[in-house]
Amino acid sequence: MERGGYRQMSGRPAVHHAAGSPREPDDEALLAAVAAGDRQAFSTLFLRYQDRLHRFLYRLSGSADLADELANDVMLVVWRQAGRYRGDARGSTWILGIAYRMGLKALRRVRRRRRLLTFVGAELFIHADPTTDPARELTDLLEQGLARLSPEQRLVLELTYYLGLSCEEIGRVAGCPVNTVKTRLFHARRRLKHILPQLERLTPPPSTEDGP
Amino acid sequence: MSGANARFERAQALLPWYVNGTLGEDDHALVRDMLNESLELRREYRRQQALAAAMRSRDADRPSPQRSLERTLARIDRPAGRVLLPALAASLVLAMAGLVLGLVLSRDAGSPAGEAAFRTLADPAQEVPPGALRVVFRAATTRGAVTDAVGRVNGRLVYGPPGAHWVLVVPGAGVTADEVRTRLLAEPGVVYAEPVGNAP
Repeated sequence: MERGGYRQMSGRPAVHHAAGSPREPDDEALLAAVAAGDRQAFSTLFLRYQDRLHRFLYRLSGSADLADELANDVMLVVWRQAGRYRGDARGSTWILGIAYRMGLKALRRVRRRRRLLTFVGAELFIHADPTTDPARELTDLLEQGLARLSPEQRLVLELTYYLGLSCEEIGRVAGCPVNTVKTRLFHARRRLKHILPQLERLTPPPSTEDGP
Repeated sequence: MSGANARFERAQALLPWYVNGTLGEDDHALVRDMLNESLELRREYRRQQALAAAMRSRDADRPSPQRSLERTLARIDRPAGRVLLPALAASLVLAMAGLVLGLVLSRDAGSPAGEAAFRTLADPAQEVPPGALRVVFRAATTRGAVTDAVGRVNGRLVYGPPGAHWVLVVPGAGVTADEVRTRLLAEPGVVYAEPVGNAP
């Protein structure tokens, strides 16, 4: 399928390809090519993001199947909307922003359906079996803690601790001010306060006491 | 609130991004200094590290990337909406008519620097020449600059859709597609240059 040109991308830095590797186009270049209808560029972008999107959406929904479906939906939107990418944020921020909005929307839909079935609560996130396996115990503990958070709070945690985004980037992904990001994370940490000491006990200590 | 308290609270709010290493220089220094001063903050820091490690270790059953890609490409190729409601169909027709009118009216004005749009030299839907590269230029690049760049790298421009910022280029005499691609990537206006392959 061939398509017309992408729209305004002037003003963005002339970053062509991933640093040090002329063979690997960066996300922004791939998006430009996707906007031109390049299936190969789309495939590269898809494979680059599929795992990240799947994990991100799994954190949001707690369902691997839903995360799989949503991750594919997100990339379909990327294919269709790549021409709207203006280059004023990193390509990853733009793609994660789509995932964030679609994920929240899907979660609301799922919750509405679940309310109809009067099957409420955080059952998605809680494993029923008690365990003595420390790795499993850690996962269970975290799942239970995350189940107490709002989807927005969970996503901010995810974007910060798993995807390693800066506060400003999270603001762009979530479409909210930086202070809102900080507030969400602050409240998320407060809600997780009761499990943090146990998490610390179950997690191997970092190799150094120094910060990053 | 005292100055020390304000600094503590600020450092506490920034701690997650200290843990993930994305703080700017000033904020990083503030948190680092406060960590040296405050036992409470150091305790919180260790807990945040534990939370980050736990978040990273949590995983889901991952689907096969290749299979997911194939499914998505199949959806791309699928004709949109088999059944359209009459009202939706009417809206679509109206929207298309508006779009066509808009395109006709803005055709000349939309080209960079007021230049005419790229001329279509071939129809790539029929056949993409062997060794062809898809080359995407920055939006501000003029047609003249594109032609110059392609000439400089000893390439031959075979297709350029009207109003778009991408072209198909084949290698000229005596050069390979790979050489042309490497040279194109060194051109300041080029954001992408890759062979037109057969995606799965």
